[in-house]
Amino acid sequence: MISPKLTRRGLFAATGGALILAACSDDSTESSDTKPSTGDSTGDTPGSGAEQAGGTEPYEVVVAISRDPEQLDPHKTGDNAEFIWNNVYEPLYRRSVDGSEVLPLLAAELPTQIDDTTWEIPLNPDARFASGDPVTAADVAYTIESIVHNDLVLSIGDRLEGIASAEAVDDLTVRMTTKTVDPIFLSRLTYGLIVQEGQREVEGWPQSGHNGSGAYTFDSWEPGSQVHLTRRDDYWGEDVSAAPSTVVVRIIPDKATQLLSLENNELDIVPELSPDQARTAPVSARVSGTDSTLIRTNTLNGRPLATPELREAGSLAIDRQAIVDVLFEGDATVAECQIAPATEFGHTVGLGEAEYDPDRARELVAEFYDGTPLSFIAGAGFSPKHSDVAQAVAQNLQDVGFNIDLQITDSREVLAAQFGSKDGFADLLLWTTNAELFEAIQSMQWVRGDHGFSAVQNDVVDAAVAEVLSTTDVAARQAAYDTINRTTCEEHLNYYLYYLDDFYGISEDIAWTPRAEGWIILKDIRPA
Amino acid sequence: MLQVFVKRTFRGLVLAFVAVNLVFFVVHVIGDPVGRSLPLDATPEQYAARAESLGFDRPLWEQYTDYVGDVARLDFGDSISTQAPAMGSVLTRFPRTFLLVGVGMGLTALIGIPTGVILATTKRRWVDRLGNSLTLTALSVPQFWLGILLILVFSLKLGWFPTSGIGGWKHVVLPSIALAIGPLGKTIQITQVTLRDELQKPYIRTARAKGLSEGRVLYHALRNAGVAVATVFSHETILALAGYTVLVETVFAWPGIGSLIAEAISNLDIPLTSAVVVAVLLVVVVANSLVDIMYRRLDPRIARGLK
Repeated sequence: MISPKLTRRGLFAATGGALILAACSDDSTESSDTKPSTGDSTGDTPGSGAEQAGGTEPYEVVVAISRDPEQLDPHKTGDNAEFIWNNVYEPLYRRSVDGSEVLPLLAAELPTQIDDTTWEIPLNPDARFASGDPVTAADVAYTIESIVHNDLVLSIGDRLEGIASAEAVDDLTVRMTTKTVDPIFLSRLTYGLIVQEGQREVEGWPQSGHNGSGAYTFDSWEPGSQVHLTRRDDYWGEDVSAAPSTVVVRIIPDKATQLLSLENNELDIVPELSPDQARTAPVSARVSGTDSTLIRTNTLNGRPLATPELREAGSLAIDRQAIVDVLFEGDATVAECQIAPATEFGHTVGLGEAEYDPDRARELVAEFYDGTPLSFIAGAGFSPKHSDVAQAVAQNLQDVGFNIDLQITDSREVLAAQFGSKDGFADLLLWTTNAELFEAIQSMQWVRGDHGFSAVQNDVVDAAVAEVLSTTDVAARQAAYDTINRTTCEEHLNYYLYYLDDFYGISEDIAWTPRAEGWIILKDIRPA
Repeated sequence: MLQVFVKRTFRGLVLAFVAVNLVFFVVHVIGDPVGRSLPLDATPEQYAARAESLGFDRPLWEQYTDYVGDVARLDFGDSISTQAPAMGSVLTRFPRTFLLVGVGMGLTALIGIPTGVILATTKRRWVDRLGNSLTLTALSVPQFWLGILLILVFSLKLGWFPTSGIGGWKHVVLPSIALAIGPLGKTIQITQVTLRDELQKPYIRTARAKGLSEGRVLYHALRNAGVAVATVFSHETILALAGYTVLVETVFAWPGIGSLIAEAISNLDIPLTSAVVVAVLLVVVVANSLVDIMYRRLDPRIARGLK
């Protein structure tokens, strides 16, 4: 009676073995089809394909991101995978690498203003989708209309919200109207990725059927693992034959693993590094001073910081230089008392840095503070070292006598606290913004039109913000920004902390310059 | 045997019912799945439209009955965040976790049990001390730290294995070791302690007095120690299959069920969370049943209800 026993054992062993083999074979298939780099399918330690590249030989580049794309809809992403869609699809205009000017892409030239709210945009007659169809005015009108007039709740909708309508005048001319005078109309158009007319109605969209005009086609997405893109050899624009022939975007949640993979030559680009992380990369690149970190105070609802002296005490208590020196080891710059650094539009000359005087802060706290706890919210992972900065600031404030209730949470909670209702406003909120590329965001620091209240509750600032948003006169806008900057600085409505560069880790096998707007445009990459 | 399966299946069904109910009510009470699926500055109209499209505008009891009905038919719908079929995501991720856990626990068994036997039978104190130190180290090392250390040594310094991701067999090695190290410590410890205990018992003295070879004696002792070892081993395996692999998956960018659970919960994604919970429960119930069967094979007294 041995054989039945053996049979049962054998059955267990076979079942277990089959399960493991099934799992193995599944991954082996992935390995050969979608290997993360140029390592062979037997699993040898992969090396970046760029290292084997010479001239225009096909090569592969591997880029790391921390989270899966949330959606496959190019208009619904707002996460770190957004750059993928900026390689598959294209907007009418794109900023230059240094961000200083807006250049035509699918458009043939800059828009012509017909009247205060009407613009006409000529299209590039050479532009083609991957299918070979030309990019027409009807496609542009369809895209813009589908973004601004639907219930899809597209995450890029807010960037285009000033646009009221779009229509095709002829095959190669689009007419757009804005809701009001819109000084940032051109900036808005750098965000609307153009899809072909009827794209949203295609069966299977957006899981399949991507047909963009960009230099890369979207091949596949393995959730939790990787995204594959392939270069279009028939790309309608400039010669892209020296760009990577294939690109793998690998989802690696842990930053330490990303850096180790970069060091091990399994990755070519790792974005969103802190300065100390960038120092460990084989090659690091930076885009200077575009991110401005500040603390927004809450002057609403009779909270303690509605008292000007307490706001001043808070500002005087923060040792900005120590934060820059210790936490960023000199790779950040103490902010002037405003969001925009000197290189950006909207900067006010001569405001200088906020003063640090903890003794004076202590006196003000002793005189005006009743001990009500101040809620302070910051997002871990929102920007490099945010939690460290939040803890340092909280300690500074506690040292002068404030009672701080610090909450370090995820980015979404921070955004909710910044853009949510009045009741949810934290007393202090650590916030990083990019002042350069989207002025609307700069204005949104002060007034949240969607929710109908001013975050600063200051008539002078509110009027200046309205001016910034409603005139195209550059001098008038600068004057309004000057008013905003001086008032918020003098009234201590925000505590401006530091300007920080964007840091990237890059392998030694590629040559690539990061762009000011933070997207990785793959056709810019060359072998080293 | 059939009785065991029926009992286990019934318990599993009850557990699944409780769990899916918990998912539904907890997500509704503590979170806002509609808001979570929208940009933060969505207007009230957009919120209402999304709530309607997801069916969250209906009375709670109606949502509940539909939800339970769908789950009973194993129809979990599409994930709120990715809009891909929820069960499809689970079925894609589970085989990867099976692979990771299979290799990791295989290593645990292959190394842990023999090491435990050696430590239990050795007369040399230094071996005993060394073994105890290694066991304690294995039990104390945090998985994520070990993961980074393994990458540093075996990927960066030696270049033997890739740092992360999925692919060929080499991709499995480091995450499996990181996963195995904790259970390995426990397995060695429990094998050593229970076997040493068994070897002190009178029946072992009798067996030796009867002239049985030391190997045969050890076999009998080991078989009796097996229930305790199997309990610890299966407990660790079931925990890993239930998603305790999340840290290892994060460090090694291994897209398994642990990271899917984390994503589903952080997005308050009811369909995906329910699909994961039911699938994990199913695996746990099946694994527990297999463990029951194993117990009966190891100790016939359990089958006869004597123990």
